[in-house]
Amino acid sequence: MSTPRNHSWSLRHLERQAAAHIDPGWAEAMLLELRLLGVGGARIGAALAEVDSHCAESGQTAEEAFGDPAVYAKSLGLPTEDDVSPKALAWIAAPVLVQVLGMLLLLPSFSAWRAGDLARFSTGMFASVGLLLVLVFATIGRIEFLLRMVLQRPRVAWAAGMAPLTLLVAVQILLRTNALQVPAAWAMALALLLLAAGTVWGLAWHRTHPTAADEVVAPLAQSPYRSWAPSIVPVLTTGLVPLATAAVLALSLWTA
Amino acid sequence: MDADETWPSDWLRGVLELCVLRVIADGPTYGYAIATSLADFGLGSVKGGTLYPLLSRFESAGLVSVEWRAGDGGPGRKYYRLTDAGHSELRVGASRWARFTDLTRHAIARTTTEDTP
Repeated sequence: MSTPRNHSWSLRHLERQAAAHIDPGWAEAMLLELRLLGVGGARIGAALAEVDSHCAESGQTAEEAFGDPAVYAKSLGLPTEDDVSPKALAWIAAPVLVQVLGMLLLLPSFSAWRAGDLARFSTGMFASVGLLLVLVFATIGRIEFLLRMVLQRPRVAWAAGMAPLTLLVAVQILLRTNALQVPAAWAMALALLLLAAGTVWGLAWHRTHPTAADEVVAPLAQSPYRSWAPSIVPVLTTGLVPLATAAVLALSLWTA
Repeated sequence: MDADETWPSDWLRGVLELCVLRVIADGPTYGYAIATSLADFGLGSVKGGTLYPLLSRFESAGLVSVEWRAGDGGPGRKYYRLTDAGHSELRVGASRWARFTDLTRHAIARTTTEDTP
């Protein structure tokens, strides 16, 4: 089995605490499969530690004793803790979508406001927003399949991801008829409201759902490992769109 | 019996659960020690990929309770202890298995005798 050169943060931590006697590639594949199945961090740590313990005592490699890591991970039948149902995922995606709508509204209205013009929105923009919503809700029920494709066949996933993106851009370019024009300040105010609402909603969701930043913990860990990585999860998922919007606005000011 | 003899995997699949419950019934023990005991019984080498999913199912079904303990200078060990439900499962299963093996032994012996010219 091939051994990935770069291992995840979780694995580097686990190599010290729970998987010192397992081939890192094997351990990472097992960890990944259990994560994809929605198993909680404590259970993943315990399952890896048990494999480690068996390998240390038997002198066998994980491959010899346990076979394929993904098959073994599935065969354990561990209870899942992450709610990966389409409904739960929709709750994660919804605040980000509100933010994206705010961003799409803010960028053209900011340019119009600086030019002292009305903010104009084309039929293409409305069509691409509609397409985006359809794409998000069509893929949300297939999130595990998509994650597997990204991890196992990154080139196919890249190509499959570029196709809808190209379609979104094409729709905006081809359908340029003006559908709506409003005072730029009003459009900007609505855009900022959407951005702020999506951000507050997203942060509130992460506050009430801390398992989204579930750590992989080794049993009998002498000193529970504290990392900045879990705390950055809400910042990454909720802060990405506002940060990107701010960056694009700053760039447009700088290049003006 | 030859300890190195390998048994058909179908046979082992049928009886492995009971054998593992029987090993754990002797007192709290951990995965590698269970595999060693099974080998000592003459069942051959039971792979970790077969044993641990079984233990995981026992845990989910409440047949065993688990506890992590520090290993002897090595990594920690997950100890399994039979619960009341596990003891009950072993009692009932052992009794049924004994009836089943008596029945099959009798049936096979009779068939073999009838076949002998």
